Formats: sequence, structure tokens, C-alpha cells
Amino acid sequence: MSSSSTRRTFLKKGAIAAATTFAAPMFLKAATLGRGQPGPNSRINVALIGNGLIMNGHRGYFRSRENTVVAAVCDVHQGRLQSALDQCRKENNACQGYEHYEEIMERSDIDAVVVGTPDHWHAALSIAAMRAGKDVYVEKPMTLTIEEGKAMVAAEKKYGRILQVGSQQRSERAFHKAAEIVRSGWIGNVKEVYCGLGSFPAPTDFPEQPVPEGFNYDKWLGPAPWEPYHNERVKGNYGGGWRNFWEYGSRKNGDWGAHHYDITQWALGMDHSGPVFFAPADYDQPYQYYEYENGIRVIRDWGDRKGHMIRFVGDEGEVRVSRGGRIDTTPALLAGKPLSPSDTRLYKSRDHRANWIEGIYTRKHAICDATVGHRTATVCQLAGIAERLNRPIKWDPKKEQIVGDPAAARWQDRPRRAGYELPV
Amino acid sequence: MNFTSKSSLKTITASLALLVMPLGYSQIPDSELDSIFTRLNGDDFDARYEARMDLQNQVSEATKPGNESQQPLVEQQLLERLEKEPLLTTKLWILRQLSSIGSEASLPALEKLAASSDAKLADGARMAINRITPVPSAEGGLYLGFDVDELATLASTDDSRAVRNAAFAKLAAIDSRKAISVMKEALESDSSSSADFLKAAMVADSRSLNKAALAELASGKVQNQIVILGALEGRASSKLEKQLIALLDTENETLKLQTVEALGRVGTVKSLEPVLELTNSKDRDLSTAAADTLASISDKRIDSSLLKAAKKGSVEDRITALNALSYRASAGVTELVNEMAADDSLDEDLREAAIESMESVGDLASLPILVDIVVSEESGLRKDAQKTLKRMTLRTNDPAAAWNAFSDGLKASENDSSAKLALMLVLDSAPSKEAIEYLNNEWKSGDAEVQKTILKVLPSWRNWDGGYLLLDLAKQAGDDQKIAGQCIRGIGRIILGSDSSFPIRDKYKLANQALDLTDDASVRSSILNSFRDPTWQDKRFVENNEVNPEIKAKVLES
Repeated sequence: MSSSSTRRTFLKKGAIAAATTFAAPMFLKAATLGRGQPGPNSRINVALIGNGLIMNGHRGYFRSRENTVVAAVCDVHQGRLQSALDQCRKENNACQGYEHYEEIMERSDIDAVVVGTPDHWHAALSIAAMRAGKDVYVEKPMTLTIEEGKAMVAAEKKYGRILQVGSQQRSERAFHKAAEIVRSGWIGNVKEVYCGLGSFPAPTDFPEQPVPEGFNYDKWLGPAPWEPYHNERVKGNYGGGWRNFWEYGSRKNGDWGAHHYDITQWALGMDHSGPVFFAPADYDQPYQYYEYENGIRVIRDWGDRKGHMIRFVGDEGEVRVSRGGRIDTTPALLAGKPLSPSDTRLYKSRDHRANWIEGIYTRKHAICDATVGHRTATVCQLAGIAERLNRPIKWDPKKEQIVGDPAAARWQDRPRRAGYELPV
Repeated sequence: MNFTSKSSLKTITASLALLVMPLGYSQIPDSELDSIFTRLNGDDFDARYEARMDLQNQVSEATKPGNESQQPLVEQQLLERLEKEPLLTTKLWILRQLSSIGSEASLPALEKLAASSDAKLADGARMAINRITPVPSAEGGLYLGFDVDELATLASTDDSRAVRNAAFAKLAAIDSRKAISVMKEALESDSSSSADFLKAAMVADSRSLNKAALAELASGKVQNQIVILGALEGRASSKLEKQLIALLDTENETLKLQTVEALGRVGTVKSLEPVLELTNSKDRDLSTAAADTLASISDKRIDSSLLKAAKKGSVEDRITALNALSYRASAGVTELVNEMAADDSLDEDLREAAIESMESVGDLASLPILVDIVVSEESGLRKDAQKTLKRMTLRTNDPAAAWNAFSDGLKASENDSSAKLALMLVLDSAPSKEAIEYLNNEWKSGDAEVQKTILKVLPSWRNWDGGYLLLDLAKQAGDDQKIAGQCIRGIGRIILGSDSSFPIRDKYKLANQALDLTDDASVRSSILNSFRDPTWQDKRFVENNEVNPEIKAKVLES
């Protein structure tokens, strides 16, 4: 089998194109799926919430597909909102802009929602959308707390929604192959996994600045504790900004951890479980790590990854994998070896967003659904709790509970500001 | 919320206990506390944040298992400070620490603050209270007390799709028979909840509900069939195989794709022919899905059947069987393709298929066979073998083994210039030091054809050794500007084709040295243009290292 197998071009060709090629009826109209009025030409009406840095790519994608229409955009920053609206109206003059997401939830013609806000809003927006009958694409990490993750899993099930978490490395060929190699036992028993997450600068405090006109700072803060406004606090920036603060994100544990720890979970077959022990740096080793019950240790930013993002070390070989389709193995032949029928085949997707849209039509769960997103985010958050408390944490992945440390267990969730309670 | 109601006798007792607690070494030392709060209230905002972290660390230490005696002392210290501190941000930070360490003993103070007229302070206190005494989730109460009929009505008639779905899921968990009836009504009336109910029924714990949903597969309604197959996953049984094979006739692409995928999980040797046929589909999604399915079916009878077919029968059938065996990476297929590729008595099309299969299932033993074909065949097979050598060695990634094969071939073709050049043209498949040395020596022969071939292969080299040889050759060219120019352009191409496996420092070293060799503007631009798509690593490198200013400008302008 060719190693360069095609990605599912579902979206490129589009459901409509597929249906009209044949005389068969439209295979799934938005109306058939009960989303109220179907969008123009039965396309999926998408709303984009949080139109900052990360949404740029999503917006371009959903604007350009044959079977999606950006019907609404939402941002608490008027300038960003207007800019997004201007772009989306190029294809759909009826696109509406909203400062308040609640108005999008009330629109029965919106089929699906993309959540691209900072992490502290992910759970509330996603659950509100699912409760309103909309399918959800939510940026990674799925949540800011473990309890939010449990609520997301429950909501996905209860409301029967299709949810995709933006840990898109699962839809990249090299990571998929790496996970299949590990799961198929080609490198023997895995002993260690090395992940490169990098680091943010230390957070800092800031003097209060006046809130810029046209920016609803209170809503931006949402459930997070009040802090005086400062531009650096709210800035969208891959090198820091809000990502620097524990109040709005999980720092590097959640930033890159939501990618590399996610692939680690997948490759080790732990999507419905998780590690049992988390140690901060300098606990008994100079590095931060966590361990699974079978003794596999996942090491952050330490050791030789041989130029790769993730390195799996087994007792019979190695897999090293990175973005850009890079995969190296020891023995070298493993990287290109096709799977035999007895090997483990994992869910295959070659376009993360298309996989979600496909799920909206077919109701098949996405490659990174709420359970997957929750278990990965749990790893990220527990690593963060150990880091903040500066002590090791024991975790029971079955009961999903921190063990033997009631004070640490409080960190499984966070209190929320009045008016921003988590929906159920 | 009535906060005073939380002030139980237990709370009062705990508060009193705090007051009589002796102050010992396990509380935060006064000097440390003073330092923290001085910084928290200062104008140095970096120092403020450090002070926040210092306080958080103290609280963390006090909440550590085994430090139970320290916890109330630190809690008391924080409560005292909470009252005294003037700055709102400081008070809020204390409240956040109390949310981590606080006990019921903190509640009276927190409740008082929660009633404050300062909304931010009140909210901060309320948040701390909620963490100390969490508010129970409303989750458990969903449709609590609803009877079966009420749930059925809700599932059938509520305006909200989400409510209908949630009610159905609840109904499915408590009364599958009623749920089946509600689902059937929805399907008959073509309700907009049909898809949701079908999916919920497919994943429900009830076998009768699963069965009722699966029965809809025979309904002929494409949208329902799609939802059922989407939810099938591990629930599929081989009993469905016949039905699924019949569904392959659908004209709907999505349904066809899902059916093919489902056959990968439940298929047996019976699925071989129809799936094999789809591997030749012009629709690439479908052919890829069919190949994946063929590779997934666990029935071992398929392999023996294919092995038999690959050895006997029409050439066309044998090729199809060989391709299928390659998809499946069946035991014995590597030996078979090696054997067939090497057998010059076989039909050329069959050998071509065997050579192509080596790309995915060939091993190191395939390399000398391919080299031998390049040397001995002048037909189309030579090109096939050259192509496979280039592709397969990317996978095998063993330059030493590849060089061994090439070395033998080059010796064997010593007196056959066409064969030798054909091998040299793909020598980048064996990017070893020995291969570089060989090319360097061959260059010195002065043969124009040989040199032309070397200038073709080096720009595709898979490491910087090719670039450095081009640099040497450019230097050796002396006054021959044409050759020097070709070498430098080749360096530009190798830079353009390099990826992150090529050490970045050498890229700039090589480019710099290449630019030093020429004043010709068009040749220089071939080097500069190779930096037209810089990565973030390039940008970081040129900003932090001494780099040719023209290259630096090119990287930073992109």
C-alpha cells in the first residue's frame, strides 16, 4: 500500500457534489438532521466564536469549503469582530456578527460552532452549544479543569453531538503511523516517551491599563477570576500573552501537551484511561514526568529526542516523530512497513476539520471526541497541578480522582465568577 | 444564596480552634510573610508576581499530605492578612489562596466579604466559598422524577432537538421497549430526530434497542444507513457481511465509503472480490478505503487465496493478487515480490508490478535485485527499478546497505557506460561517504557524460555531503564558469530541497561559501532564491548568528 495514501477529500469535493453526481437524493440535508432551517443549498451553517489568532486558519477553511457556510461570527473585541465579519461576508452577505455568544445559541439555523477562544471559555461555550443542539469544534486543550472535561463528556453523550477537539496531530499521517507502530508492538514494550513542549516565559503581574473601547473585558474574563486589565494579559500570541497565565490556559502543559501528550495517549492505547503518577521537575529527577501503571514514563523537555518532537523508546526499537510528516524509526524499516491484518489499525483521518464535518453528516464520532479530549486534557492539567503545587500527584484514572491529597484534589476544578457558571 | 446558613456549629468550633492554635515554626515566618506582602503591594510588578508565587508555594507546602498541623496556622495567617491588606488585588490573591487551603473555619470571614458592596471582592469571596464547600452539580437532577411516558412525550414533541435527544437517551436507559417505539415513530414520520435516536439506539446498552436500530439498515433510507454505519464501530458482527456487500451497490459515495470501512471490521474472504474491485476505483478516496479494508480483514484465508492467485492464472489476475498481497503485507509477500522481480522469464508487466510492490513491502534483499535490473535491463523495467530504488531507500533509510548493492552494480557495469550512468543517476538512493568518494573519483575521469550525470544526481542528495562535493567541484572548475555555475545552482537546489533533518548551520555555511565563489548575478540568485521559503528556525538562526547579509535579508523579507 502506498505510504502516501490520500486524505479523505470529503470536504474538498463536498457532500453536495457527491450527491449531485448521482441521481440519488441529497444524502443528508441539514434539515434532515433536525437543525431547523437548512443553510443555503443545505450546507452546514457554522458559527465562529473567538476570532483571534487561532481562528484565522479555521475561518479561511470554513469560508472556502463547498459544504460549509460561515453564518455567524462572535467576538468580545469589536475590531476583531468587524474584521472577521467583513471577511465572511465576501462569501455570505447574510453572515451576522455578535458580541454575545448567547445570541448564536438561540439561532436554530446554526448547525455547528467552532470555539477558538482562550482555554478558560472552552467548556462553557462548548456545553452551551451542545445544549443548543449544535455540533462543536473546540480548540485544544478541550478544557481548563478536569471537572470541566467530565461535564463535556457528559454533554456530548447526553445531547448526542459531534465534538472534535483541535488536537489535529491525530489527523497527520506521520503521527498516525507512529501510533500504529507503537500500538502494534513493533518497538516491543515501550519504556519511555520523550516529549518536547518548550517553555513560556514566567508570567508576571501588570499595572492596570484602561480597557480599550470596543472590548468587553468582563466577558473576556468570563469565569476566570477578575484581574486588572492589561494588554499583555489578553493578547493572542503563540509566545505568551494569555497563554502565559494559568487562569486562562495550562501554559506549555496544555499548549503543546495537548498535542504531544495526546499522541502519547493514543499510541499507548490510553484514550480511556491515563497515567497514575505525576512528578514536577526536580522532585526526584531534574525533569517533569508522568508514569502509567505499567511503568511507562513520559518525560518532558529532557533527554535526547534526536531532533524530533516525540520519541518513543521500546525494548526492541524506537519511533521518533514530528510535524511536517517526519518519522524515523529504529530499525529504519519500520517507518515504511505496511500494517498486516493482525496489526493495530487506528482511526484514520487526514484532515482534522473535514473529519468533523464528515461526522456532522454521518453522526460518526470524530477522531478526537470529548472522551479523547478530556483524557488528554486531564494529563495536561494534572501535570500543571503538580507543577503549581510543586509536589507529586497520584491519580486514579478509573475513578478520575486525585488520590491521597485532598488539597490537590481541589484543583480538579476551579471556582467561577458569578454569572459564568458552567452550563449542564 | 444564604451564606449564613453555612455557619454551622462545626464551623464555629473550627474557628475557635484556630484562635487557640499555638503559633509555632510551621506557620509562614513573619519575615517571609512581610516580604511577600510588601512586594504584593509594591510598584514592581514582576516582584508582585513573584510574591504571588511565593505565597502560593507557602500555601502549597502547608497543604501537603503530612502537613495537616500546618494548614490551620497558615489559614489563620491568611485570614488575618485578608482583613488588613488595603489593595484589592492583594485581597483577591489571598482569597484565591484561601480557596486552596481554607476550611470551614474561613467561612465566617468569607461570608462577610461575600456581602461586601465591592462586587469584585464579594465575587472573589464567593468563589473561595464555592471551592471550600462545592455547590452540588445540577447534572444528577436531569429529568429526575420523570416517568417513562413523560420522557417519551419529551423525546417526541419537545421543540429543542437537544432536549429530545437527552430525553430519548434517558428513556433508552430505563425502558428500551418504549424507546424502540419512540424511535420507530420518529423514523416513520421522518422526524428531524431520526438520526439522533438511531445513533443513541446504536450505542445504548440494550441489545434489543441495538437490534431495532440495526434493522433500519435494510430500510433503504440512505441517511439512516449512513448514521447506523457511522455508529457501528466495534459493534459490527460478521453476520452483517452479506448485507454490507449488498450496500456496496449504492450510488451514494458516503454510504459506499462507510460500507467499505465497515467491511474492514467484519469482512471475511467473501468480501475479497468486491473490495478488491474497488481498489481500482477512479475515486481515490474509495480506492484508498478499499485498500485499507483489504489490509484490515483478518480472515487468513484471504492470504492463501491471494498467494495462489499471484502464482497462477492470467497476468492481469496475478497482478491484482500481488497488489492485494502488498496492501496486506501478508507473510511471504516480500519473498514473492523479490523472486518475481528477479525472474527474467516472467511477463514484463508482472515484473513491473513486483518492482512497484517493493516500494511498500521490499526489504534490504530487494536492493541488489533492483540494482541488477538497472544494470541488466534496458527496457522500461530499468526506469521502474530506478524509481523504486529512490523511493524504497527513503523507507529503508540504510545508506550503507544501499551502497553495498550499488557498489556491486557499479563494478558489474564497469564496461557498460549506459548501465553505469543509469545507476549513477539514482546514486542519491545510497547517500553514503563511499558514494560521494566514488562520484568524486568519477568526476576526475573528465568524461562529459559522467560529469553531466553527477551534476544531475548531486542536487538530490539526501544530506549536505552532496552540497559540499558540489562546492569542491565548483572550486575545481577554476575558469570554467559554466561548470562552476552548474555546481552552484546545484547547491541552491539541494538547499531548497533540504528539510529539518539537514543540520541548519551547514546550510548557511554552504550557501555563504557558494556565494563567495561567484559574482554572476543569476548564479548568485539561485542561492539566494533557495531561501525563499524560510522556516521559523531560519529566521531565528539568521537573527542570532553571523550570516551573509544578502542571505539574511532574503530570509527576513519572506
